[in-house]
Amino acid sequence: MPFKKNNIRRIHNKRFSWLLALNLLIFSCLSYGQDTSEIQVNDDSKPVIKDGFEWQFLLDLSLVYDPQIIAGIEQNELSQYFMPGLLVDISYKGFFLQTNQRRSNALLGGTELGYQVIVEENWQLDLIAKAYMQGYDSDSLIEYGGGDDELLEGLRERDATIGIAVRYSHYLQDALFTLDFAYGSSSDDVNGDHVGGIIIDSFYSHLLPYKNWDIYLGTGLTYFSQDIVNHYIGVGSDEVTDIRPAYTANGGFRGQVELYVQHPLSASWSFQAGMTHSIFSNDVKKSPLVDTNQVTQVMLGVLYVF
Amino acid sequence: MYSNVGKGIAIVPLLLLYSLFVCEQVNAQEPKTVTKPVNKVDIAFTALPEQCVTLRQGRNCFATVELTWQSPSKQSFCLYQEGKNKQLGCWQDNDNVQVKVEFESNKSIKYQLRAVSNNKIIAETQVEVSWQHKNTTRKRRWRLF
Repeated sequence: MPFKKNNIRRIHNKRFSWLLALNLLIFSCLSYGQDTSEIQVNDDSKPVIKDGFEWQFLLDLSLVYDPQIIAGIEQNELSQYFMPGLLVDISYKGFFLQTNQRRSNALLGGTELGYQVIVEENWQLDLIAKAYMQGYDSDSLIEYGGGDDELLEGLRERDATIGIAVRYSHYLQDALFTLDFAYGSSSDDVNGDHVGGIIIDSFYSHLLPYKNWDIYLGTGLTYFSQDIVNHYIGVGSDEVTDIRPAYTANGGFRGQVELYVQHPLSASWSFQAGMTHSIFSNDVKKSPLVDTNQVTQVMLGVLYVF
Repeated sequence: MYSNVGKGIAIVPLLLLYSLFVCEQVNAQEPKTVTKPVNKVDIAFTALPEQCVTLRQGRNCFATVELTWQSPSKQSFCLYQEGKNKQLGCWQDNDNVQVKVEFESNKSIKYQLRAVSNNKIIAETQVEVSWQHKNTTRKRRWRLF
């Protein structure tokens, strides 16, 4: 349930601050790196090749139609569709920092920090830290999307959920399956209790190359535990109003199907377009804050490769 | 629903982007010509585009390439792809020829003009293959939203 808001506000989210600090700390030693692979020997004396020093930066200039499931939130201005992002991919001695390749996501909202624990020919086990859900606050939502003032005003700010996860990746011919077992952690609830819960995130992506086109078909299923869902779409006792009754959400699922295409335009520029349809558990519609359990996100733009 | 489109904030970066793209396209389209003197006669032999870009290292690149040669005097040539003995075509007593070939390769390819009379290479031009992303075996970022 990625509740996203104004890109500029994302950096203000304190949950990203420690992720940024951790990233800088780990990668501050890259000054003298080179493009190499790190060969380690495990207990069976079998070589394990981890990523050496490699980097790539991409400038993502895309228009994104990014509807929310929160009631009344819509993109009203052209500028809200323009979501530039700097996509980062750095690896060093098994550590990696990466941004979802085709996610227009400014700053660190879509960045993953990880370490390759086990690297085998067809599969891999990583430890990762990433934001599984973006936070929101009612004031910025109303400002951003012209949301229903009466319905949304006065809600507590929901911080992003940062997850620490074990990721299993399985590589097939032109396909990838990933499975994250994560513990997500967010801000305290109305009672001052810590909000945290399990997130299980799976995704399968298949590449269909056609001439100079890359065509990706993807599908995913994600489980969010009750604490996490309730943190975002529950209505606490301190938030109850005449039109906003108390609501406690259940754990739920999100299913996704995705189509993405990319085509080179020149040595540095490529065209990209994609669409993701997400269906959340039907239960989410019971929340007074939610008016739909299905959203379709569309992205169209160009990438510049540095 | 999305009626307020009057603010042109997004237009500025898009124009900048368009300018950058156009500049790059212009640079990429400048043909690279390799000529060799034949009997003191220069032949201009060019390929357009001169560069074929693929997304991933090692992937075949596809393009329709226009090969053009101009000679001050009419001559007889055959067109070859370097390293292959089969000719792509021959032209008798011509001084200006344009021909389209379907390019499919993951490596740069040289095209050669050879004299019909002695098979001597008279001129060469090349279509280079470049790529945008390194072909890592660990493709982690295959997700959009």
